[in-house]
Amino acid sequence: MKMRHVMILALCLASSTVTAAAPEVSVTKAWVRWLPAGVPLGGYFRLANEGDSPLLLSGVAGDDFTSVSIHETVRSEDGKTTMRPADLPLHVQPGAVLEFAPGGYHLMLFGAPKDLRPGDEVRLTLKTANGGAIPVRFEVRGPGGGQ
Amino acid sequence: MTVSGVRLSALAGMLVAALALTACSEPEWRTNDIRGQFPDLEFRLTSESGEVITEADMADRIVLLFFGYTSCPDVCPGTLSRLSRVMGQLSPAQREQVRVLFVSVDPKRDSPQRLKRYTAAFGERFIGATAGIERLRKVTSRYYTAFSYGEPDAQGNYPVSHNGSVFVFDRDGTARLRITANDVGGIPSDSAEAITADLRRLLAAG
Repeated sequence: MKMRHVMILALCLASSTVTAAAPEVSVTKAWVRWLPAGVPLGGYFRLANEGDSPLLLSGVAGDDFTSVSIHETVRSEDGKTTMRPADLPLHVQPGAVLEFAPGGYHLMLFGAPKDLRPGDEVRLTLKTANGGAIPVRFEVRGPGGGQ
Repeated sequence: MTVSGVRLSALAGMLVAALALTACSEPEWRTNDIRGQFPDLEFRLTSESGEVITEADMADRIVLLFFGYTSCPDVCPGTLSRLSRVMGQLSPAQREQVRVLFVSVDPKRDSPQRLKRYTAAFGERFIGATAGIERLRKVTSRYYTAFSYGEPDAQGNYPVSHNGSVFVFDRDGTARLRITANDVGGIPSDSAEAITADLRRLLAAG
């Protein structure tokens, strides 16, 4: 398994008084499910907060797509499934793991490059509520990639 | 304690009956047995090649019916890819007798052409179909389900609520099984192995 430890880059643009050490996170199992016909793609990953303070995941950005957002698949009371924008930020306590996996939280990626194919790599940036940015490389897998 | 001969023979009779029942009863299906609870396969839609498609086109095939939409990056491809894996576990001869019918409940975005490109990613026995809203309402309600559209976001993208189940019909078009092939909310679903085992059993039933 590829382990990629990433330090949050504290972009202290608004404040010069932030002196606390940047929390450390590891993001693994980062992949995007490729689909044909220009349909939106789903992105998944596993984020472990290895720091001492809570991490608040507030969004995602990426220039490879026209629009990216954090969604959640949920089951309604009558057994139907639906998607909705996730209630942000997502809190990850120190030592805790946040899993983006099929059937739950996922990145919703619109407007992928037309020539994107399984085997490629895309870059996305996870954003935290305090202005941190976590760059992550996602492996592009085929439609059955998650199973 | 005394036991009369009548009582003893009655007891023996019950025991024999119980044993016979055990021997004759069908083993449990590994997915959900819905025989007698859902109506037969019946639909009239537009196929991914732009032609009218009905249950008659599925004659003598085992049909896996799934309602979804292509702008659904999580549940729909998750379900279809599990079914794709199941198809891969069947022999070519068995596979030829099975069709996966992916009915899009989002005709506004899912043209037949788009459906064709989409289903091709999962296998050649995956067939896309859709129709106008009224026809879609008719076929979904026939299987006690529904669909609805959520609010569009700033880009005009909207989610669609739909049933995540797959309905399986035997060669006669009789509803037999309901499969859950995705893990929404972490609720365990039917594994590819369980689905394959049940399909093989349906195929073997002739």
